[in-house]
Amino acid sequence: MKKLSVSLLAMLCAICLALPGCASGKAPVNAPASQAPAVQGESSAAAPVADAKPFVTLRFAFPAGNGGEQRDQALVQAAISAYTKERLNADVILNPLDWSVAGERIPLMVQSGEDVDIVFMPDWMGYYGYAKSGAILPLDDLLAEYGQGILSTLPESLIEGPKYNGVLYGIACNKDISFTGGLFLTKALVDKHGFDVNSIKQVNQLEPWLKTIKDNEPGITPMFFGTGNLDWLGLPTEESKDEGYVFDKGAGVGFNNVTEKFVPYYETVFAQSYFKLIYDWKQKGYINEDAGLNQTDNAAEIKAGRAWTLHSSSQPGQIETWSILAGQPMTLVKGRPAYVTNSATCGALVALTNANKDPARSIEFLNLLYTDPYIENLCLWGIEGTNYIKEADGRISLPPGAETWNDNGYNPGTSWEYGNQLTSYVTTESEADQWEKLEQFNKTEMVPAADLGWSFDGTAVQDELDACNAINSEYSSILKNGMDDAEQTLATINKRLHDAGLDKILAEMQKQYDEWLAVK
Amino acid sequence: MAKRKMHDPFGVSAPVSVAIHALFILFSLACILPVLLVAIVSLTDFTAFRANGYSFFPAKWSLFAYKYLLSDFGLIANAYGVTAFVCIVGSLLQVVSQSLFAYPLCRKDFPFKGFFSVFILITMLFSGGLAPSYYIYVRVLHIKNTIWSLILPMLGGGYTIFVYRMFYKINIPMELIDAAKIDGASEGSIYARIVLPLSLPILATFSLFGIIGYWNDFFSCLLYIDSTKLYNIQFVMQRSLRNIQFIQDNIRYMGGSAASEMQKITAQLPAETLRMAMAIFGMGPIVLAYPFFQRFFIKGLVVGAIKG
Repeated sequence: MKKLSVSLLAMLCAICLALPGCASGKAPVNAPASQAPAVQGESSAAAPVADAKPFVTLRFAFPAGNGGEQRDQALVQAAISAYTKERLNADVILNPLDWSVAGERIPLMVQSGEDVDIVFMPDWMGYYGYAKSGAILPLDDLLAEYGQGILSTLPESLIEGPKYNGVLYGIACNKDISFTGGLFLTKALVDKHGFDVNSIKQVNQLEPWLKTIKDNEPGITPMFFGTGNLDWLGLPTEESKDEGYVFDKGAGVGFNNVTEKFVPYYETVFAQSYFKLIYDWKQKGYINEDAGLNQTDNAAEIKAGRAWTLHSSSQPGQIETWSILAGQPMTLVKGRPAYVTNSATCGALVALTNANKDPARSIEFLNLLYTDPYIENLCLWGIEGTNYIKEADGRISLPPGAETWNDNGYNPGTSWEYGNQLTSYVTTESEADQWEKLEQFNKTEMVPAADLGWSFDGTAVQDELDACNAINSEYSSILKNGMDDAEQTLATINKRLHDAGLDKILAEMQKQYDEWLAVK
Repeated sequence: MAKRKMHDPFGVSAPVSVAIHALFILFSLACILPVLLVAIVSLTDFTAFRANGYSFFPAKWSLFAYKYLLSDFGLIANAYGVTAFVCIVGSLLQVVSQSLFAYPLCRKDFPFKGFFSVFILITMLFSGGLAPSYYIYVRVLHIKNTIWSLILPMLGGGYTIFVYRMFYKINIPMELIDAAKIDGASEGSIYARIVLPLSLPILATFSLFGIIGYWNDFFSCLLYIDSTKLYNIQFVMQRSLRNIQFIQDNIRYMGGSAASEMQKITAQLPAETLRMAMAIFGMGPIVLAYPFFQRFFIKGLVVGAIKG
């Protein structure tokens, strides 16, 4: 009896220990390396008899606003099903997940091998990790065969940027490739004091403006840090204007885009001068005292007449957006150029899961999203006449009975997630030529970062990376919000980062980068 | 005072009494004031709140937050219904499953006692982890998006089962069970008619824990529920906060057009006074459950301690 229970205990322990292991490493169990080619082999073998493809039901999971499942979801779903049945002999079921749950849900769906075929999987949900473990499928061959529409629609950088080790696992939404930084200011005060928004080339040049507002406009915080802060702007300081733009790669690592060297971020001329400037402004009262702790929406604060500025990306259409939200006309100080980085191109990707029942037809469906505005807009805005009214100029307005875009029955707010945003409808609150402007912006204002397409394999320095990441997240908010004496904090963080092995990380990154450069 | 002390074994001298009272008054205030502040902020006029921030004495009162919440009354009422159902059915099932598991473990004549004790002990020491649990509920049991996914995850509980077992061991003498057997009672009726009535204090205590556990649970809802019809009240309250969190955490990765779309939608999310009103809704009737269970609660904890 006792022997039995002891051996049972041992067995149970083994099972318990093994379970989490096999879940997180589920990929080896499903053997992606052997399965993926098998699936592709199947589909290319099946291609000649395309007409005889059996009916298949595909599920597509993605985050959605307004509560996830929309009021008219069933109605819209019926229309989508009808369309996909006719075109693909398949039923594509949309599975919108409320924003509040999507961050947990989608990775779990992928890990557990749930019956989901297509998922929204940007890098901030773990794209690289799943690509590495094989939980999502490689797409190059599939795209070449079934996704010509996608390939011809997407700009080069959106196809090259998301590649992992030279293989594409995720299809980017065709939207703005990257964003420029910006500082938005209320137009009334800018005009009143005669500021010239085009004159700002360095962060320091803002100081006289802030002083003017502080001295002459009682009750208004010149620089309000609520949900955002000034690092959106990305302009150099007076001291660092010849240094070249340094990307903050996290973990205390900086990448100088000009010299193409990995450097300790907090030792760069920019970091040294910028954080001291922020701290100085805070001391002078140009920045709200509770910066870093305050979670108020900047636009609401401006609307309430208590703040002057907000920070955000500044692609076409943003001035209009912020003007609506802040309740008054806004104007813009343009920040750094729109650098195209890997993380910018991986901001919105769609991937096929390991459990995908029919990768070929999944790609065919996605291909339709990029090439047929009807299905794209059906997924995004619902049914014409019921969920929106189409105006003569191509824009859409609210259907009768609805007061806002929250109660028109269908508005998941997902145009930035999948498909071709440039063919999606814009509402009458936006400018009719918004997407033309965006396309122009994509063509003319993008500056590829030197390391676009390069991905770092951190396995060799994982411990150091974890340690430095922890240190970085401990101090970065303090520095960005001027919460403590910058000089002292910078000295502490630099010492701690070096002790934690930052130099080893930098050397490893530089080595991998130089190798990549040589191949390229 | 000295005389009084003779009569009252628990009596203390005046200064000590004052000090103890003061300490507990301060402690109670520390518990009550934040809740009061939440209630007051939820009743503050929004523009007054914007101007003055958190205050016990708002410049202007307003019922707007509650009116706004009740405008979506269907969802809230439904969520209350879901929570009430899950609390009642869940805590009943929980009590039944836990006490049924624990009862045989206290019986010396139960053959697999060792195995089952170790089995439940293991669940206390090792957690299966999130992904395997998700896998089991979704792909093996297929209870995703059903009310059972809100109930099942909390039916077990190693610690509670061991407390039950201790309670039975101490309070239910083997002789009593033998006597019942001689009188011809089956195992089932021994459990139902002797063991359960005798363990009322502990059943009440753990059903209160169960109710609170189910009441506060939003995570099961987050993982397994898609349909708004099955949202429970805590999740409805958590949702708007998590929506804002999701956007704040990720907006810088999403790129420009995404960011502006997000901004439009967050701007329509409820403001602070509304969140406070939601917190009040979230506390809701559960506060009333405490006084009701209080007497069982104390008894349940004490009984086990003294009779040993």
